[in-house]
Amino acid sequence: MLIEVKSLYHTYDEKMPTEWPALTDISFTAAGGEIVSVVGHTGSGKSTLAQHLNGLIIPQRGEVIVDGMHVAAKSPQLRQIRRLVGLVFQYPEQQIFAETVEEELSFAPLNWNVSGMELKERISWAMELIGLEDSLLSQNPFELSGGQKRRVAIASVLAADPQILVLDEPTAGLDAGGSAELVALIKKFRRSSRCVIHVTHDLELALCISDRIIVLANGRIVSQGTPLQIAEYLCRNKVKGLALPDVLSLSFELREAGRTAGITWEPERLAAMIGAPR
Amino acid sequence: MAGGTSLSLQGAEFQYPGSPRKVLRGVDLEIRASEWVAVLGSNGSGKSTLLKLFNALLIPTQGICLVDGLRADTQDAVWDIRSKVSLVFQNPEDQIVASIVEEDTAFGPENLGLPSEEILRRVDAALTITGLLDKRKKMVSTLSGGQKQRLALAGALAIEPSCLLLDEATSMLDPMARIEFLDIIKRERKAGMTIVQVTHRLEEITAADRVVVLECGSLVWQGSPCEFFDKPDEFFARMSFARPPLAVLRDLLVKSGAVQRETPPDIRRIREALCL
Amino acid sequence: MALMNGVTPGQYIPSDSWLHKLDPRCKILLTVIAMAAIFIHTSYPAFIVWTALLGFLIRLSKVPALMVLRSARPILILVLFTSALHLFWTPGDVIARIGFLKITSQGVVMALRMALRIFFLVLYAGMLTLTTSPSELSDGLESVMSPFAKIGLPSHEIAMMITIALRFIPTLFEETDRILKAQTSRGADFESGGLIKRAKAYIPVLIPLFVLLFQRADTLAAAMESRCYRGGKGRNRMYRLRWCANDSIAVVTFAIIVAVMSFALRLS
Repeated sequence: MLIEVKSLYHTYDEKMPTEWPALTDISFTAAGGEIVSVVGHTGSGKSTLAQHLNGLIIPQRGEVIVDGMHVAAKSPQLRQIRRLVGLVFQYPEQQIFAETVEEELSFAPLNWNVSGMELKERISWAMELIGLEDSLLSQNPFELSGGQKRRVAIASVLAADPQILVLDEPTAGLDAGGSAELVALIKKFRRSSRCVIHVTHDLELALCISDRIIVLANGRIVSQGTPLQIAEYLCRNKVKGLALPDVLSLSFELREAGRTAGITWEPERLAAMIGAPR
Repeated sequence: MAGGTSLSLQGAEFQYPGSPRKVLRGVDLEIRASEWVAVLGSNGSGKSTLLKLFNALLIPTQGICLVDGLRADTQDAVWDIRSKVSLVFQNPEDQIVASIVEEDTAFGPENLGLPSEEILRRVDAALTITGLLDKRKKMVSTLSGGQKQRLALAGALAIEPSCLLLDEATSMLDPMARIEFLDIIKRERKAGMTIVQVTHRLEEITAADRVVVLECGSLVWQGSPCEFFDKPDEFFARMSFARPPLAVLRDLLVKSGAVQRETPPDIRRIREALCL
Repeated sequence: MALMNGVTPGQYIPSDSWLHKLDPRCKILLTVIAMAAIFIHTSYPAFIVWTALLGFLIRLSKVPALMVLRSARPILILVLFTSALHLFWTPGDVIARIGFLKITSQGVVMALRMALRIFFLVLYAGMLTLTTSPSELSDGLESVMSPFAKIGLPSHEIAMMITIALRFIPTLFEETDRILKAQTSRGADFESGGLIKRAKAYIPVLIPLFVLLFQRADTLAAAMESRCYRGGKGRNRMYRLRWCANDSIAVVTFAIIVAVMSFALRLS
């Protein structure tokens, strides 16, 4: 298991009038080669959870274990954990600061004392994974297009060679082409038995690409399982802030009416299930 | 609000000062009063620039832009135009000016120099339409992202425009907030407002009367949403559009004969067509 | 979820107290009188009066005393710095030595006086910001400054800038926090190393922040123009400031208290 979260609790502003329970009794695991999506409404605790995974937030109660190491304050392993877990925030292009793409990509590895040949290899690998030409390395990142900036920002996290990639709403604001490229990146990344934790409110995307899905509402896990299990759960239970994808909703109604055998969110499969009119 | 505004572009071109690149090339576009037009195009197609011509934020470097017959390309009519045509941007943080909800909504009417009672009435109306009336005295910083964007919309509506321009106004919102926002737009449209909506989410164009596609600054296609979804895959690929799953489903069902050709990619109509 | 570590010190806390309902111009006037008086009178009896007056104002405002005291948090470092200066550099009767630094009894007195003076100045200013909404404040300032507009002071523009600056304080906190976290996640270290190293560590935070702010300024200007903004000419306000009896009473009463106090202190 690359990531284990056990009975995690988190309250903001403890013992103050603005006290707010962000996470209640969260437990789940993620293994290498898996894409795990955490789905929930805004304010469901997804981002708080994501920030526990690389030690930005230390568990108040419960445990977060990354590759066998506990996330704890003042732990010498904290830096090692932060290196293993690459956290990509929403709108990551807002963290760009360097004069060249190469400098931007070197930031993280240099902070982890990686230099010389190994640094160049890491940068090449990150650029290749993200689908950008090496010729862009000498360009000013601020002069790139929006989509390219986002890819540079993600590449700068990849250059640190993380084993676990945590993405917070990676497709926010992207058009169809950009989203597709991002999905390709996610799939490429997990191939080398690395793990992807994908935090999103885009249920449709989560259903399409995940191996497992965790559904959060008001800081609690309301359901976790395979995409099909979650689809089944969501068809029968209204969960705060999550709208059923149209195709899934239709397929559920058709199954309940006895017209089809199963449920699906994929239009091709649903069309096949409906078949030709008699 | 009386009938919506009509908009017209005739041979409109636009270049940023000092740049040789034409962001818009010879665009001819007529938008009737109370029409809902969706403007699509990949990044760099000029769609945001087009929108900004309609509220005189930008002036065409060539050609004519008319708003209800008023020329938008001269300085004289600018303020009249901006009191009829309101623009809502993508990020609420870039639009909200005051710290308290009702004070931000009042910004537009205050700029128009209206009497205080009238400003209050418009603020009440705008906050009611956007469902924020109970939050009127709250600090803006306590609102969620979806609420902030609705506040930006309230600010635009408080001017009592007859045309709303939406520049990817839903792209930063989560699914529920997006639905709430679009519901308000649909209700405004029903009341006669002209809507020009720039978006890259194809699911949102089904409510539009007409779809307009821009490519590299030129208007390359226009037609109804149904006609749009009937365009071949090469067209979609070229524009970097992705057919929404529901549209894909509808196409397959039409092919297999399960639903009629006339059925649009709208969930209610498809449900009806499948006799659910 | 918008997260801030508690409330920004001195931030407006809505309420229906008598103090809240006063015209902002009245409160600005009271604050100016108070601050002038605090500046002039720094004797111990004066400090007792300032404390009593502050306590009375706090009761009147219905704002928790803790919130008021918190508004002094940002200037703690300044107070420590000036106190230290006075403590170690005031000539007089030496009572202690730390290395080459001398502490005199006069130094202790001066340091204490300075510290208390700064605290009271900030706390009284805090009473103003805690009980006056940002737009009331900027309206009040604009109104107070408007007579000077005739000699060229851009009173409306200043007030507008204050409004916008105040509105963006929470947003700025959030965005700085986010960028800090993003860079920390990439291995940035803001804790260890000498002063220069730590200062340099903030460059990857400051640059993105500035870029963000400049872009925002552009879009905000376009948004304001779209909402028919064209400066102060011809603008009206939703809520017009109205000076009423309570405001006159407050100013007169306060002025009398300060005058009596000055007189009494002069005598003693």
